[in-house]
Amino acid sequence: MKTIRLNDFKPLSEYEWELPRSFRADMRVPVRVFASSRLLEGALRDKSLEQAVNTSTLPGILGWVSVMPDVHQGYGFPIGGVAATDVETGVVSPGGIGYDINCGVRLMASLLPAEAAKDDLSGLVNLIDRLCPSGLGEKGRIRLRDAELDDVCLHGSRWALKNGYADAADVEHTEDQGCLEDADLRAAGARARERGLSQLGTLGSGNHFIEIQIVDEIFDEASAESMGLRKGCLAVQVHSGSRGFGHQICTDYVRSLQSAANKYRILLPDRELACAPISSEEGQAYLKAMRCAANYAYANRQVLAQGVRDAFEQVLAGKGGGRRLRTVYDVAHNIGKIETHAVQGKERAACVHRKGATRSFGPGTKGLPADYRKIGQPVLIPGSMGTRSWVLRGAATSMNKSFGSCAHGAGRLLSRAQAKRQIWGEDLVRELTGRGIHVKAGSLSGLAEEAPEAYKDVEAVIECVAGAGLAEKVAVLRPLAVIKG
Amino acid sequence: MGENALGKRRTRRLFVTSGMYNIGIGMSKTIEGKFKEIAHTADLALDVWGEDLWDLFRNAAQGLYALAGAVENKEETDRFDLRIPLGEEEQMLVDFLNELLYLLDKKWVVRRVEGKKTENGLRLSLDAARLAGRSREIKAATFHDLALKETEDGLRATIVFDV
Repeated sequence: MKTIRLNDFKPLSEYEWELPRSFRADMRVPVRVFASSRLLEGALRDKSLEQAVNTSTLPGILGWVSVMPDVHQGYGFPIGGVAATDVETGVVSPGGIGYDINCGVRLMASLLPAEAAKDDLSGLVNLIDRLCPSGLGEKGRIRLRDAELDDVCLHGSRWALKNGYADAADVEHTEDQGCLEDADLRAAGARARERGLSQLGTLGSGNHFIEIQIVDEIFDEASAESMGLRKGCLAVQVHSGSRGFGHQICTDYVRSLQSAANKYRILLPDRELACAPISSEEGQAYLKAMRCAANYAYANRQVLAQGVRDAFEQVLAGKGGGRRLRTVYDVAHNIGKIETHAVQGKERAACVHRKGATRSFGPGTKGLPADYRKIGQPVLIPGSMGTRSWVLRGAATSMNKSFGSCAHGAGRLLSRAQAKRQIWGEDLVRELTGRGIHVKAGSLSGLAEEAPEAYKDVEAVIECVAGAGLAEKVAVLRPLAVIKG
Repeated sequence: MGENALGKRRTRRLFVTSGMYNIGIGMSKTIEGKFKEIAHTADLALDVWGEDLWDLFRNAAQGLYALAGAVENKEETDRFDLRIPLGEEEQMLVDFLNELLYLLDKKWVVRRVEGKKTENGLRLSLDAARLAGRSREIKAATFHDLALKETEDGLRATIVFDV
């Protein structure tokens, strides 16, 4: 493969760089990177940009491949990439969405000052850990029957509402109101269905977490007020996805769409880009199964959120009514959705693949809840463990620049193996505890892999997305306690 | 064998076609032996060696269990049958590892594999022990950069796992 160098990029602004189609003969569209020159140089150190170039070769791809400042190497597609494909002439690729379908983040906020709960953090952490199991040891609190799994897949968060795990405001404040239409469980294999029965309400391991936070600083008072974020008060973030159910659907379709790609004579520079025309039977089957996993993930984060809420109610009883946790928003960052976007002045229906990218719809966009219609949707960008997390709002300019998309996190810098060599889990716990952060982790080596040193500086990522006009800063959250599987 | 994604044609059959193969998958608490964890920014990757494809399967399985930090309980055992359709060797390796991940989710660790290659693929009988615990969840074995290479000592593959 041709090596990509910094001077192959044309700067469009301080935070936008374009790699033109002429870079490689098989590119159908350019690649646009939203990053500072320093983060762009960093991205050249692994295969992430080569993977973005590979993505640009997919049939029916529209506009350009957008690359976020937190990009890092994935498999097939880079993590931190957005690819929109024309619904009539384009393809859908499971690799462009990822194995953890609808991995995402939920933010909840309270009006309880963190100071009032400082002696209760340890009790909160222990109860949350019990009510929101990682799933590595014991199974989840919920054991679904086949028909119930069908309901979860068809209705997502609305299943949670019907079964007492949500209130109406939770559903309203979830992307897509917690449900993608046109899901069909018949498109998911028997193994996926089997894995889905026992894992609802489990957190998972790896980079999944629940964090108790304090609203540390506010940059945009009016938007923070609309979101219910008050300085000094407690908030909670939940990061999880569709668990083994989604993993199995992706595994099954990465396999089966390889033959579909051959059948439709699509030349793939990487097998993990396996895909099928959106209009084909195979492409439609994947979309139906993927939506089941997306809805499962919405329901999963909702059940976890309810577990956290129950823990707050129980442990903080007597601390005042402000302890009630309200959902600020719930965002997906591994998902594919049919959306309408303006491309070269024309409205086009596109399948927008966001892999490690958060939707960042700006003010006035259709489908946003009433309280966010004027400000744009909340964009949640968690920092690495022990560092600050950001709340932004989608900028109107993101619609034309990145198909309404933004970064999703700090982005990995070190491999897990490197992180484990450089960082001891025990040292990390000591360091975090020394900074007043409570830690509950299933595995110390797993914790070391997620150490802040293994990630880019989230503050630098935020500067890029704000500088590029993808999102605007609203507030920043500081961790008080972290629970990891 | 068929063409791989880049259109290169294989010339050598890597499985011996007759006979029954019996491979034991020893548990290893440290990542050593015929596999090695290598750096991959987001995920986990293993370099695996094997004298032939069966040996590569065994070592890849051992590497997978080491990465997952799987611990078994030998007192509860079961046997599972598995058929892997005939395909490229990379495809069959990924199919095999994803099967192990599925069983891991069902809380089984495969300890021994009896295998036979038939016209249609591989027929495997898997002896498994109950999983007592694991430290990490692995989502899938991927095709990313996966290519079996023939070396003087046998075969070598790099496998990237999504975690």
